[in-house]
Amino acid sequence: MFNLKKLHPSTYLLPKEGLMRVPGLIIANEEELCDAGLEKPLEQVRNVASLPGIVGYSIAMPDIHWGYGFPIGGVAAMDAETGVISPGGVGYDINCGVRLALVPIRFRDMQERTKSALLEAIFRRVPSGTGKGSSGDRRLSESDYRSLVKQGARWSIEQGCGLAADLEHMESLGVLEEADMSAVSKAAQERACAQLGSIGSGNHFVEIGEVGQIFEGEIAKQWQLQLGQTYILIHTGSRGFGHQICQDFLNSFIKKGFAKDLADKQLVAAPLASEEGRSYRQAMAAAANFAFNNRQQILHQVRKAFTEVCGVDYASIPLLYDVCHNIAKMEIHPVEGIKRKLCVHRKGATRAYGPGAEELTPLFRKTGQPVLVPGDMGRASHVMVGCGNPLTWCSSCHGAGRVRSRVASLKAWQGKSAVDHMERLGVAVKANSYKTIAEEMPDAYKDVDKVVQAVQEASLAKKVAGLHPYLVIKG
Amino acid sequence: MHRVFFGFEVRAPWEDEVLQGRKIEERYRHVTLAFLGNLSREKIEELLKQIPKPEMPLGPCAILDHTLLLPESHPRVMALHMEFLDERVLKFQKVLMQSLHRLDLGSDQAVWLPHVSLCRKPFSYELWQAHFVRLPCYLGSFHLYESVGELCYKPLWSYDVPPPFEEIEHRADIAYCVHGKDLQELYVHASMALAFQDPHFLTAWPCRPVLFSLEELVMALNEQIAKIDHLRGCPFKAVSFHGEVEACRQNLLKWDMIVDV
Repeated sequence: MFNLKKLHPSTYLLPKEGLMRVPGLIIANEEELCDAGLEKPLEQVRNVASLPGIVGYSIAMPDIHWGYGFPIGGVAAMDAETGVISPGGVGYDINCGVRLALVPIRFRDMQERTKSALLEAIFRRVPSGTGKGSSGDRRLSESDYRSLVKQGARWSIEQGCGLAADLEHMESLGVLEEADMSAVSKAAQERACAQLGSIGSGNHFVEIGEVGQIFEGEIAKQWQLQLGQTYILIHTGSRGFGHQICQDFLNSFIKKGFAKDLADKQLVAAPLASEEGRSYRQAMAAAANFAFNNRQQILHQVRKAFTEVCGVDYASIPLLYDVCHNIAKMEIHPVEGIKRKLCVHRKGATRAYGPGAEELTPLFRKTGQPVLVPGDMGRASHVMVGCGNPLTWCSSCHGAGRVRSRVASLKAWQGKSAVDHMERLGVAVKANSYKTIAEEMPDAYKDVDKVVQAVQEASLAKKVAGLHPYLVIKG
Repeated sequence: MHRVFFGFEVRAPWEDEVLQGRKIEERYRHVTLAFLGNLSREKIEELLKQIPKPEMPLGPCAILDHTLLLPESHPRVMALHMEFLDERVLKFQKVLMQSLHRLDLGSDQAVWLPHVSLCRKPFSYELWQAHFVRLPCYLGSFHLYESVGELCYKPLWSYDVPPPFEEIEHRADIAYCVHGKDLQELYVHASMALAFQDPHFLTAWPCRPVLFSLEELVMALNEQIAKIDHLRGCPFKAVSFHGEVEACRQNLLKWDMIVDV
């Protein structure tokens, strides 16, 4: 019913029709295209294609699923002068993202009791779950907010929570410059004042495991990724701060009538050149900088846990990379041979710059940027390298994507022990709520290997290494 | 002879982990409106022709707001008190009692105490009381129940009352089909649906904003979510602006609420 036309391997065109201003571009393998659950997200791809100022394509990644207005796993670039910015195109969890750090010990060399102690230590140090706030009951003051929002992750590092070298291993060096607290409501500040350094709930996690496969030896070497090495993977975002900012601007844009004539009110958007658009960008950047700090503070606690339990030197645990997967950023991209300033919305999608990209630091300019693709907690996650594909505005997928709702997953695991099942798979899981574990079981997700395969076939990113989880803390 | 009573089924997100005693199974939990004693099949058939029916388009909502030990003098039952969100059930119970009295049926009760019994002696009250949280609930079908022993209650006759909301399948988030006679009632029923997922959603209850549009309804729910998230954490991110309010049966409105979690 969508009349898709194959352009390249795992790349399909969704032809322009009706109110669409541009065609859709679907990155998926053939098996994925047969999934009946794809119908609603593809309708959302069409809706996004109708937004003012959209350039190129309305893009869907292979991990696409239904989202608010924009699908999750969607990418859309808007012209900086004539286009719009949409809070729904970023998502509630602004700068939800992933960071990967490497520990200089082989995972298999750790004794079982050390692994258990490590899991306990991380669980104790990193608050997780609904309503669980900062470790040590720390509350952010107004001046803390002003500084962390202005400085991004540097703020945490200056507080002793990290290494100076970490900054060079973060997307945008861990700071979005447009951030301005004057665009942020009091409610957003209050909602998150005790949440910095916490995972939250849902699909967020801290995961420890081993590098199980190397696909691109030369790049892995440059990134100091070794087979059998222990890794730390952290997935979380801006907590209540980002949620409240998204909500504040959705409410304000709807009240101002910006949703008029849109196919879905949740697509509501303000012109980038307007006061409202500028204000949202400032507030969104503030939330993005909160999220960089959140992941920085969590990594700090995990590093301390490794020092405490395994005697590993804090400074010997380098951050490989930190990527955003819910963000809108101003970027320069060639459009029909001419460089144009675009606002690229990536909602459940990761930037994937290839070798030579000017924004990257020297190491990654040489190789292309790391693209971190967490799978589910039982199978695998992937480290890829961006190919800088101009068709997708240098974007790639962000994860596995759900195949089963939370409710269905909970029902499927009712009366069975999800924790025991995970143990049989060799994965120790801890969470504040059994419900979260049951909702997040591996069979609730697509096979991330297939998602990654489609991304590779479409030349968006290439596999560098496969990660295997063993210790998982869920929200 | 059948030992019978009139009552509504009670649906709630029961939290039974700390409930110790002879538990009444969830499917048998009910609120008794009138106890009739032992009646013959013929008497029951006669009675059913004459009693009023609960002409309620949707199951009324209530909050199970505090624990009870019944009877007070020599407690044999642990129960939860029901605080209804409106007067409909209280009025119906009165009308039902009047009708039964005209038939020389129904015991005399000075004041009706709406409650749902959870377990019978022997039980451990202190542990339960210490873990008590207020729970949302709604009434399901109206039945003439027969008490068949062993804490089992078998409906001999039923009158259907549709639920105020129903969970619907949604791959990414959680979703409900919510019904109500107007926007205010849709708001109340949507709040109750959310409280079924997280009973702490009742922390900021009651909150009855005046609403003129679906957008305002969504904003009011999201304001509640933000308030609870700030107070104690909330498993919901937000309610989507997605969808429209549609007219459906019996002058009711219907709205598919999608909640980001």
